[in-house]
Amino acid sequence: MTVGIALPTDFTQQHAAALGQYLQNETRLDKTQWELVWDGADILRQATVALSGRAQTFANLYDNLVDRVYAGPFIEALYQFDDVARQAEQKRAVVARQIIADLREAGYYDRVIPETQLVLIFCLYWWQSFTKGYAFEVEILRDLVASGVPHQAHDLRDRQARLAPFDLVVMGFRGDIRTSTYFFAVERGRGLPHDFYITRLWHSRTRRWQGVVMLKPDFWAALDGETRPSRLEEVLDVLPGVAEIRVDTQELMVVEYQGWKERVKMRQER
Amino acid sequence: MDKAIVGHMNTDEFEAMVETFIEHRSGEDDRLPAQTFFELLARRQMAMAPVEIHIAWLEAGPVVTVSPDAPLTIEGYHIRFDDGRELILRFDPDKPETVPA
Repeated sequence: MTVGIALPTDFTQQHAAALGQYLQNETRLDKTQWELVWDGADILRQATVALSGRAQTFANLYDNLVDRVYAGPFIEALYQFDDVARQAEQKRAVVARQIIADLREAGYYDRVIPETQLVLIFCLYWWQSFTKGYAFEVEILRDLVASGVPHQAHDLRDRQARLAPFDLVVMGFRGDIRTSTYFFAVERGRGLPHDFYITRLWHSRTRRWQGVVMLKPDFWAALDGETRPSRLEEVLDVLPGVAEIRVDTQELMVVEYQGWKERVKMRQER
Repeated sequence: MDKAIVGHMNTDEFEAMVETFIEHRSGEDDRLPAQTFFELLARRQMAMAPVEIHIAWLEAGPVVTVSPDAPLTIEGYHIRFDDGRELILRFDPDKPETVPA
């Protein structure tokens, strides 16, 4: 039972090296390498793996062997956890090891065929993206409930609902909850279609995460308040003020997550 | 293991690297610096924004121009994109029958 791998021609050695760098230590990646990681993982979706005369894309393999098996139980578990961040982490690692065992048992990862390393990395990369994305989303949704911020959100345990184009509605505005890399790794080519985005940004100088909400002008107009026109590199320094930035042609207001919750509650209590 | 090229690695080294990745990575591992985040977001937005190409019909023939910050260059009727692709415009106003179906 020999496994065969066919890679798209636009998958290069640079992509493979960047994926290796990502595995070793993502904090050392520069901007170009990050882009190579996201591009490489995206291109690999169309790579094919053939086993026993049956060929399928990496994306199909992931869907069949990982997503349909582990995604539902993982999300169900997120809803049960007391400490989502810590327990999701443990669960992520346990399932990652199980994915490796499954790939090996099914013959898709073969120690003597180095090309199959790409199948394994592909599955681990997307599993990692999936778990951290949904753990973050469940943390935020739970916090919104605890904070008394009125909103409507999908039940992520429903597969169709979690594949919906937006995550929640606040004051009639549609929004998404995304980790910062999710914008580039998963939502490639979608731009910024929604009214607001809840995310977290890494402050290199203070080495801390900062929860933020990025709002389009219509949502900001409904909340109202002073803004400060800012350059992209100074956004986090402007907080807790409200940074007004331009991302290409898109105007955005960047607000601290805690401050945003307060503003929404105040507006809805009026 | 400075240059780990996935797909070509020694198996033992690869598996050790994978185990370290699983064991020591956390859900908070996407430490993309904020400035880099916004720069990449701007680049992504720019890549998705439509590009307007202007064609002026002068006596000497059509003149094609584009805004200086567009991600392409124009030489005559050749439009070259930053990613290497090229679009060639052909103007055949008197020969509509030559336009492929």
